[in-house]
Amino acid sequence: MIVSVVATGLFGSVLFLAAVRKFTFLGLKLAVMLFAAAGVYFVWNPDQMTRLAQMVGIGRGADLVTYATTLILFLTVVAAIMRERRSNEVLTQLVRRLAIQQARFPEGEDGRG
Amino acid sequence: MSRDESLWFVIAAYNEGPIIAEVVRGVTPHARVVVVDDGSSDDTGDQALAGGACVATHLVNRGQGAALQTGIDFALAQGASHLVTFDADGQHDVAEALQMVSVCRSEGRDAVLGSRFLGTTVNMPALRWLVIKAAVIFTRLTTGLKLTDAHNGLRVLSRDAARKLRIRQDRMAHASEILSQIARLRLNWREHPVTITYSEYSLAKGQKLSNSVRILEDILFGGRS
Repeated sequence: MIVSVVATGLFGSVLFLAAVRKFTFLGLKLAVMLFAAAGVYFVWNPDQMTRLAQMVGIGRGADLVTYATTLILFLTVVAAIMRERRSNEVLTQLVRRLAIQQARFPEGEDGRG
Repeated sequence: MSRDESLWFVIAAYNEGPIIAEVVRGVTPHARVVVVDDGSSDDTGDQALAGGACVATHLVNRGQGAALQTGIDFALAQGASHLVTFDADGQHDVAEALQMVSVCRSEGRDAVLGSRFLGTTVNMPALRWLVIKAAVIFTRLTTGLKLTDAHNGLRVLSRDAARKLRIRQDRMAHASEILSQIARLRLNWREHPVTITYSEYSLAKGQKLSNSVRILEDILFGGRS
């Protein structure tokens, strides 16, 4: 129950931020590292994973792993799309600036005619 | 009839080598032309230059919206008082564009938009009619503009309007973007009937139905993704 609410809330806010073009996920790399570290820990202590899962209302530890993985994957994809969009905008501006600076004029005309 | 040095035709061209010089020559007796060669792999740029246009070259393909914005920036820097966005594939009529310019000037409009549904269409496929009508309804719902046509590439803009508009949609969604900015900026606009000639050449190059899905995606999720 708690997890469903949190996950739905996260999903919704990411979509909203993406829609208003404000999505920047600064902590994403950190989150991925923490997630990996947690993964190592729980591989060695699988029963701890199940206890944690039950604490937040999920039956098995493996289910919790699936949910968490899906969420992180989703956030990563959204962040990648946003990043590509920004770099595309920069590329367009660069290409535009060059095009205007190096424009060719037909015979008998030149800049600021 | 002398050439109007303050009137600029902005043409975005991608691999239009076979026809671009002819299209440019149709305009140069009346107005100045800038062709934005959008990373073509053929000789579009050289052909346009030979036809008498200024040529700004995108080193990599950035899409029609990006190319139009480049052309608009260039024409403004050259001191354009009015700008015409014009298709590269010869489906627009120069005389009608010039009529639109005089309407824009005499009525003091910010923008005059071509409408093929007020005018005539030659050889328009039924499926294209359906897609454009759907786009018209979409535009009415999202911008409140009571247009009869959407995604018509023939537009006249005053210098002031062109300076205010900023196309950020690099690809085809710029047509919707321009309309929504016209609505938001409360520009003084009107439509004007135009003839669109669907030649074999323009049909082969033109919009496919599948592109409308991509346009919708661009509108919803913005920019390239």
